[in-house]
Amino acid sequence: MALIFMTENKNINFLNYIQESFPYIKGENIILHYCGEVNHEIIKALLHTLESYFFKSQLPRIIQKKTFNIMVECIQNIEKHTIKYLNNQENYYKKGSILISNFNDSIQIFSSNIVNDAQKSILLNKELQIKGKTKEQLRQMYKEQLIRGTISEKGGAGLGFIDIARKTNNNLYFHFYPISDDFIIFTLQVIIKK
Amino acid sequence: METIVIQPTIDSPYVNLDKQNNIFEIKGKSLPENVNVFYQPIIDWFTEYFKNPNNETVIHFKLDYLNTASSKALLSLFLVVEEAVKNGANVKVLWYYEEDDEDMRDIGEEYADLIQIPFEIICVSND
Repeated sequence: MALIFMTENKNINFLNYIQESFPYIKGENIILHYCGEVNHEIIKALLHTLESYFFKSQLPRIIQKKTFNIMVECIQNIEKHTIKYLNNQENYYKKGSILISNFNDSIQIFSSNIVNDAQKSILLNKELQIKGKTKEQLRQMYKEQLIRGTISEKGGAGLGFIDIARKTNNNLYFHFYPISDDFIIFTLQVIIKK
Repeated sequence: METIVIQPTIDSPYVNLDKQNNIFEIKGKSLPENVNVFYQPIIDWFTEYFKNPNNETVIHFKLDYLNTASSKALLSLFLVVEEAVKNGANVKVLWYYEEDDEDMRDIGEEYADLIQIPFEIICVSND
């Protein structure tokens, strides 16, 4: 896949897009929002932030663990399926947004980043693979990919979306918002039922 | 054989591989930045160990979180164990999951399906 270094649209406000599309998300529901460079150090910092929140919360431990796991997979998915931003002539970085909201009946995770057409096609294919699949079908897909997949340089094993689908009974939704002829905001919405 | 002890961090598990005292355990969170860098020395250690294993080897896995890249790395480790079992080693894997944690139980069941080794899945109370 060709690398695309994006020099414009650097300051897209993902939160605005999410709140326009999902107006039920209010400030008081948001337990974590991050927008910026995405890398492993950020994952660790966000885990620490979530741990601090959960330590004070009454959420069942299983919901906490699902939220941790899914947030990590969402961020790693951003790292795999995103355009790269040029820092200077030699270095680039990846950027995205994570928002976690706590509702009475669910935790919802929204991960957003900008993709190009080729990346959108890959994501649509991922969506097609898991859409409507039963728990048992997802289990078979996971096992097959576990055997077949190799760990890529980006750290993935091709299991991320299948894993999220399994952990949420397939409660994940792919949203695309075009922002120019070449670029699209991709938002993955994941619902963890309490 | 040299013992491996790795202290846990926010993204990597505690590891204790001690042939002399017959202790083999991995526990905690597993989502290291580079799973190959973390797990390859562990896989290499077991490969060496199974050239001359103890009479009985029980490997304990008590994981809180496991990202998908780690689950793939663990499969590679289990394949080394499977090969040792085929060659006559007396090995058992104990996979622990917290009560209610179906996700961790499920992945244990998948490993048990995929690899031909004695594999026990044990529920522990989260009290």
